[in-house]
Amino acid sequence: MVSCAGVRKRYGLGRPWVLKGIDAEVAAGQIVHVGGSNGAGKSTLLRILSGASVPTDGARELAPGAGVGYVPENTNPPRGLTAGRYLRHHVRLRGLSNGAGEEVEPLAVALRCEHFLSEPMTTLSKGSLRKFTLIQALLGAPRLLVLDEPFTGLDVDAQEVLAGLLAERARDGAAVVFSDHREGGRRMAATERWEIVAGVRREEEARAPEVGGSDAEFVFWGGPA
Amino acid sequence: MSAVARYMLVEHLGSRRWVAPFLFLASGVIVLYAQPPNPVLSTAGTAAAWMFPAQAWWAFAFLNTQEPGERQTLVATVGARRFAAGRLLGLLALLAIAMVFTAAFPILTGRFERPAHLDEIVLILCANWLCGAAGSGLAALVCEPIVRTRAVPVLFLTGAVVLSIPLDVSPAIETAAAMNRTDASAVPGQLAPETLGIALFLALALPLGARLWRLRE
Repeated sequence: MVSCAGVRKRYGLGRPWVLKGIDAEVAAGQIVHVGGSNGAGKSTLLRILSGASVPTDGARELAPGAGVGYVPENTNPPRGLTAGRYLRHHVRLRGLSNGAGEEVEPLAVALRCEHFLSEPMTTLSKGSLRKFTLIQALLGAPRLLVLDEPFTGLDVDAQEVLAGLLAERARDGAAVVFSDHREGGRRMAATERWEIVAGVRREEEARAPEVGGSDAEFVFWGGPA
Repeated sequence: MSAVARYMLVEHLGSRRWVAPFLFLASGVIVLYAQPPNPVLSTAGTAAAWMFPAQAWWAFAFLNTQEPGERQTLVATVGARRFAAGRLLGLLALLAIAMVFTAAFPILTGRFERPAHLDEIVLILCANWLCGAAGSGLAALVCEPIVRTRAVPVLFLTGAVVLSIPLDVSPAIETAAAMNRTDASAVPGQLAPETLGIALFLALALPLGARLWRLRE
């Protein structure tokens, strides 16, 4: 679905290299957990995979026609928009028909934020804002989902719902890449784990069961459930 | 592309970042036309010159409306080309608002010494467009993420507007000088080199700004 080869990134001449040569590939149906310490380059790698940023060296390739859903680590609320209007704009931005807007309500209900659809984005709590940015990424069933710390700020119930939604999308053939720096908490199913250390990718620590396989839907990195 | 521009404009207007630069533009135009007799072309030329700094400010405010996370989300969602095209369309929409306001104000409020003829109105719009486009081009070189601070762009834009005058490359001064005629038929010839120069500047500045943006994002 998406691949990168020899990707290096720095944010200006003379600045340090944030990524120092990363080769990676994510296939349809895969769920990849990107781990690593603060400042390792996870967010930069996710931005490049999503297409939000371009590598300084190397190449990133996305399968033709694959839509991208992206959630950044930090989001400030857009001003002057209610949550519902924000999502309607994203329906149009994706070139979807008005019918695709019908996706909004079930997703908002699933994440328990439907009551805030008419609220201005600037008045939402961090968790609610997170839910709406997640919903915009899921609209139109993009084939690649790149989520930077998607569980941050969500309550436990919403984390489980989100994990289920992402696993469902992967079963439907989407590729999911997400980062989550917390340890010991419940993790969603991942078919692969990348460890980013100081801008390079370390070999996977473990390989989890295939999503949709006979194994449990959720696996737990770093501790028991 | 229009959906991208529409989203950006809605957010820009909702953010109220447009208020200060628009008031800067409007107050300058109102003060300029406060003192009669206001010959049509020469006064409109001076008003067009005011659009150079005003539109540099407004374009800068527009291009910086989105915070990094939201900007990156938009780029990932619609692709870099559509994002850039949407931004350009949004800039053109703001430029159209500013040039129409600057041209319409003296006509609708009867500030000119006589009613403006159609050919003069066309020339006024052209002069406004030239100065506004030059200002927008400057802003495109210093918006986020190309420059991540606010102080440097403010110094750059102010410096460019001021220093272009002694360096004899100010689109504001050149346009005002070209419009300082009583005969409208003489103005297009005077504006031609200015038009060429600004077109060349935009042809360099806009791709350069887009390239720098992609490298720094």
